[in-house]
Amino acid sequence: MSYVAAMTEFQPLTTPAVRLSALRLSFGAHLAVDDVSLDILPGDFVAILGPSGCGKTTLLRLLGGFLTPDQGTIEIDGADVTSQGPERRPTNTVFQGYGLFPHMTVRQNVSYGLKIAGRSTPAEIRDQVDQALGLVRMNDFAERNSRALSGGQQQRVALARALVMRPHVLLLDESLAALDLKLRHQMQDELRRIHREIGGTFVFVTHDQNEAFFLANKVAVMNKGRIEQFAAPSDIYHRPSTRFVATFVGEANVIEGRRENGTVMIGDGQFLASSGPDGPVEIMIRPEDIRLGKDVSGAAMTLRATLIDQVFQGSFLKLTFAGESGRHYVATLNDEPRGTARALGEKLDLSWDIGRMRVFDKGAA
Amino acid sequence: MNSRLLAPLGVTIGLFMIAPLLVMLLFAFSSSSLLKLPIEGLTLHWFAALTETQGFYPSLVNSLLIALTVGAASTVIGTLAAFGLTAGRHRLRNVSMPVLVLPLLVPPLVLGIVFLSYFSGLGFRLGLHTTIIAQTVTLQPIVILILASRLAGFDWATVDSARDLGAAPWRIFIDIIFPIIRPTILGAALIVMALSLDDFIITIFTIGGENTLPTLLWGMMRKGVDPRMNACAFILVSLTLLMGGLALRLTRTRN
Ligand SMILES: Nc1ncnc2c1ncn2[C@@H]1O[C@H](COP(=O)(O)OP(=O)(O)OP(=O)(O)O)[C@@H](O)[C@H]1O
Ligand SMILES: [Mg+2]
Repeated sequence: MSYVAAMTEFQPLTTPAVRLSALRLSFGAHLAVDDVSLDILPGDFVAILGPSGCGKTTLLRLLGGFLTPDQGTIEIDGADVTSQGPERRPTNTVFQGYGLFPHMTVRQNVSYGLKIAGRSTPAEIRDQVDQALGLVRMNDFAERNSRALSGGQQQRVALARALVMRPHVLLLDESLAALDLKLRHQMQDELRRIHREIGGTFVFVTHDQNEAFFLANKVAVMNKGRIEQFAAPSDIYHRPSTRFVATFVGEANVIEGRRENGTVMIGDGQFLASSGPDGPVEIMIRPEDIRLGKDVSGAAMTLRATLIDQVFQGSFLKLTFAGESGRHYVATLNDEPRGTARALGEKLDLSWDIGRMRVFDKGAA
Repeated sequence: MNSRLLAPLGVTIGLFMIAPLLVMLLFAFSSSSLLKLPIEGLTLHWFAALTETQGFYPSLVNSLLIALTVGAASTVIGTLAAFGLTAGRHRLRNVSMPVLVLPLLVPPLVLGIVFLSYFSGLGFRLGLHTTIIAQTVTLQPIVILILASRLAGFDWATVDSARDLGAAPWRIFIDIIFPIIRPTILGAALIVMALSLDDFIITIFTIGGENTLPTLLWGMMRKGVDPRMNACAFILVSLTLLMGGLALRLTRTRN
């Protein structure tokens, strides 16, 4: 076998827990999932993050087997499950509305899947259910009717009902969205703890950026049925690959410019070396990356702007500037000496590291 | 309007509407054979007399038989129809609902005539069976409407969850869907039975030589009025109220 052949037959050491290849699904004329390819590794806690209607639920239902793709394949642990329904897939889903069986007690709800599987004795089922309820701290509620539970408790039972099946992949659809803020934070902590305790692969749908960053080690940002970027939270935040990701996740200053011969001209008389085709581009800089004062290092950009608004936000100060071309810049400062006040209308120097800027070609998406 | 005024007003209107019924029922226990107030004494004599009336027991049995059969048949048909209408996303849906519910909107008198000419056109001999068919056609829309509104609010995530946990379709129906909507189905059946017991118009057109309690009552009335009829009415009203009450209890949404 030649060296080259050996290279092409090289397989990654771990089979992905989930591999989506060129998935596509449309509802009538509407393309809900558009050419999605994704590798999720065993043990990953993945968040699918995107605005309402972008196809998150649809993608999760494809994963769970509730929908069949028009094109593409779904592999779980290396096995093609594209044509299998949810009853045969090694996945379990926690639905947004929980879907608890209202005519059953908590224990009956959690036992149901094990009973159907018919592989365990009643005593084993009892043990496993107790364990699952212990994991979500619901032991005291085992004999309670599932109708007589609060939202957070229902959420826990739904989680236990899915976990007791020991799914290879656990799917959660906006599971925390219906809870109030405090309970939501509490459940986020619980989910993290559970993932730490039992390991396993979790895929979680949310439109809440904080939730995605808090829970996941990988975030897939979705827009209009496509995955725009799939990366670790810090990469998503600091190295967004598209303008959509940059503005959907966190706040961003977006500056229009043109690239000519490898140089981007920003309106306010600034230049930046950037390789790529000539044409309009957009430049992104995060508000917290903007500093006050001139930079002399040469690895930074500096421009002069007028302070037009300042808002105290507790842990940081949010300043809005107008550049010479009238363009607005937002900067957040958190290393302010207390009580420093600046007058509106004051002209100040703003600077930021060139490495912190991201340049997006405008034609592309 | 002020709610403190509303309550007494409601009670007054309710009394006004219900008073004739109460008086009518009271006469069933009056010791005088004349229907006049005040009544002189209380007796169960008229109930005894009623049971001795020719044809009473057969009518009672017929009434119950028809009510049970119509209740069962229209519940099965109506439930299946409601499932077909709500679960499917097909294009016929907007058309089929009004068509299936049409019998509720046509005056019973017209329906009675239609059934009569239909059955005689087909050469059917009239009897209990024709009444059962006619009442089932007339009453199943009620089941469709009740079930369709229940299914519209049905939490389909329970079904998805059951599937996800490995349940086959028939298991999902037996373990999940049916237990959840069972009270509604029973309630709808009881309402249909109550309406069937009550029915006079469709029945008189389709039952031929047989009698139910309402047609018996009507026959008695043609020969003159006496408190036996009040006793008969009392039995009918009690049966109907009993079923209606049970139905309300069952269909009342919990929580
Ligand atoms: N069964 C369906 N038939 C037709 N269109 C559908 C169906 N399900 C979803 N869609 C459409 O597909 C798109 C994606 O829907 P999806 O539910 O996946 O969005 P989502 O990202 O989960 O949104 P949300 O955050 O609001 O839950 C939407 O435009 C929606 O209207
Ligand atoms: Mg959704």
